[in-house]
Amino acid sequence: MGVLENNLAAIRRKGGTDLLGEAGCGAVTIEAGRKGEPTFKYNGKYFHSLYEPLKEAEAQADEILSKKPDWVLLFGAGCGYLLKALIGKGHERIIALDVPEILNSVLKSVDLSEWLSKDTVFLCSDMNSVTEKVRNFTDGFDNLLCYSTTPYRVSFPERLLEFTNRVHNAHTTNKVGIRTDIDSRMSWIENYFDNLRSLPLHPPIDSLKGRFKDVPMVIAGAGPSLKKNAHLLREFKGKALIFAAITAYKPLLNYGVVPDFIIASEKVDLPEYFTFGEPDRKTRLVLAEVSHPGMFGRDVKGKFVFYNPYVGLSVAQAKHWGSSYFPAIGGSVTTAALDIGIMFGCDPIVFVGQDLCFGDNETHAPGGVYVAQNVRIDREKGEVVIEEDYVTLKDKAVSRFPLQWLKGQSGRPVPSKFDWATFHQWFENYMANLRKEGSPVKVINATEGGAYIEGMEHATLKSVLERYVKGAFDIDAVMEGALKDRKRVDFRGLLDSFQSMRKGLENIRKGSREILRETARIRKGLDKKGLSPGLSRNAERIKTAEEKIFESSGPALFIWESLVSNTYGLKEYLKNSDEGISVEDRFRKDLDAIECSYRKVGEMCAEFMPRVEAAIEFIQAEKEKNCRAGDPENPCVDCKCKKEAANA
Amino acid sequence: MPEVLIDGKRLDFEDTEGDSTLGDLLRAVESELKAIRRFIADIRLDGQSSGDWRTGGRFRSPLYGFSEISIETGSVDAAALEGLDTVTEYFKVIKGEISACVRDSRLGGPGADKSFNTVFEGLVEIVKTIEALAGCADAFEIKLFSENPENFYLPLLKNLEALKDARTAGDPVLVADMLEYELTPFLNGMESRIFRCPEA
Repeated sequence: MGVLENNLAAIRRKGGTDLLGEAGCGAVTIEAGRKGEPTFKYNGKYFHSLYEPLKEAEAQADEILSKKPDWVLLFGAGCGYLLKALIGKGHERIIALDVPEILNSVLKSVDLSEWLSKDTVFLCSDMNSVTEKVRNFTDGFDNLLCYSTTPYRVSFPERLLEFTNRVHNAHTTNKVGIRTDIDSRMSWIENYFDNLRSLPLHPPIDSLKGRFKDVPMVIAGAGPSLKKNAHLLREFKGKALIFAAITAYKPLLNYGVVPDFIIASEKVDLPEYFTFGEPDRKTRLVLAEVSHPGMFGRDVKGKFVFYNPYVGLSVAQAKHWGSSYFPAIGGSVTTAALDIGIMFGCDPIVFVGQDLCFGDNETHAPGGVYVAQNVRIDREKGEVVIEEDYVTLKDKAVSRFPLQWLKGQSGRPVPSKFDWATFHQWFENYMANLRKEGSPVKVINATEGGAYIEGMEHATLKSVLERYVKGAFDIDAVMEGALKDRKRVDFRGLLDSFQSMRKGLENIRKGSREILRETARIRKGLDKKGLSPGLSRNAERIKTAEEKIFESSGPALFIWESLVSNTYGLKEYLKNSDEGISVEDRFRKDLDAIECSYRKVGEMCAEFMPRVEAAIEFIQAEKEKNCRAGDPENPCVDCKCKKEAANA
Repeated sequence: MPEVLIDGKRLDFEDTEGDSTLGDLLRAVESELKAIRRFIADIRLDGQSSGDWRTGGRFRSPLYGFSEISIETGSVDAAALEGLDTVTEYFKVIKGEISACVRDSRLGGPGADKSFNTVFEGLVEIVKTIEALAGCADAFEIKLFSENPENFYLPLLKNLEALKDARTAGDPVLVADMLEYELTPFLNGMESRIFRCPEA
């Protein structure tokens, strides 16, 4: 095998794709240094020492490792000396990016396969891959260090800036993910249980799968630029499917546009987003199964439900509700809408109001829940302060965020903040995957301003609508068909699931108590004799009890999601293990952590047990109701109804 | 007539014509001192130190204008050794600056430019000092250097020009390579060859 094949094989073994990009005419020539080691010049500058490139890289590696990073994000791998030096010093968590002008030549001439075959050493040729690797392989707790050697810094300042911004944004997304988990997981689980009564009533969103083949879909976000082109949507109502983020609903009404669907998934109730009048009854809601129960109570023309792939309860039970579709979601409802649009069969899918950045002194289009806004951007401090009048608040709300930067449609950076940067990153990643899969669907960003979204076509809404909107379609007929063909709810399956959940909760509770008893014994022994070999037997018993807990959790696994803040706390605890602390003190601290964790596990099981009982009761009743209604798929337990029917 | 003191001892000096200048006196003293391998290190005119006695009007000042001229002398050999020490120290400092410059150039540290300038200016100072010492060595027929330092000036100049070019081209890797693998070995060689102790 040649050098290039070796390198590419090492990359492919980890699921990587071909790295050779468009180098144009600027490709470098690899030349031999004084001792034969490869180096190269770009724009008249050497990138590695001509004499001892590895020694040079080792000094750089020492500098990097003195900062104790969990991951090194390397802009510029060159001929691989720094990869080799870092790996040689025991650091194997590296995500590197190189420019095609250099990467193409290096991969053809320098065998990096030994380093690239390491499981956590990645070499990327594009910014999206870097984002993807940061999202998938690092977590919000990790200490990420971006590094670039001087020649790369000097030769590619703009690409380095984009690289650094991307890494920063991806890392922020990971941190936001942790924050979201901590803030929302519990509410999602509670909402899921609260929504049990609503879920049988509303079809899953995949009832509409493929029913809008080649219908143009417009997804409206509530970005400031919506005001520039929202009015155009009015005349295309009934010719293009209009899908609005809940924040964009009222702003669209201002332009006389009633969207066909409003998508919402907030864990809190948002009545202020609705009119409680005629417009509400002309539109349909697409709700997450974990949305606030209040949202299921809105008086609208219809409701559909989508199930989240990151909610354990949904993953276990969606099929029983008749759904086999979990939309890809990037943190905002417009990201979910894009995936839903693809599932519907829509083409093209067009975004408006998807600025993902601050407008002129505003965060959202006018007409929504933000009555007045004052946005102050402090570039020096890297901070943005937002003062706003919210419809339901008496006083002005003030919030401040670290400033983040995205590439704007004009090519210049635009100011953004963590959540928008997260969505932006998700869109670009989604688009890259869509293209990788060979999807022919056109996705167009017709937001007239704001961030540039790599992978999407950028055009004005007017030109897009003129190009793609053909004839009218009858949305009510589509809905009728979907409702008629809706899959039955499998109450039997749900009942089984909740019953084994109850059993799982009992087992977890029992196991937790066992562990707490064991930790009490350890503490006693510790106080009496200090650290002794005998304690290892107790520790072994804890390990066995833990294994038993995990084995017997079954569908009660959702309980770990409810404990996510505790899990993150433990993770942080493990990461920040104090140096210089005595073995016994460390042991005692570990013991405290174990006790605290399993006490919480037990408490959580006790909290959810009555909810599971209530769910079982409700599902049982629904099942019997359906049985009586003649649904052969849902017979009641002793199937009195059937007997009664037979007797009759 | 002024009183003339050499290293605190009174010198009998006659200005018969009454038109001798300070220069005349010092030249005569220097000529005497040369024979005993000493030189004028400092003079005090009427109690005031006079750093500029070799230059300007002072040298031509008539002696009768002064009431006391105090001359301090120094040993040529001791001064030459001190000069050599200074050059050796210079070499040490410059090599330290080269290391710092190499490190900063390779790691992108903020001090690369400053160190580079120090190296450049330092090398010019070394050459100047060696030149001065060589002149002194010639005058007193002392063998200060085991090899003529002039042999090194041209290659050193070439090294410095190449370095300057690499720096102008904005190539920190080449600058670091030249400093580390070309200039440092050159300076080591120069140092060891011009300061080599005579073989026993």
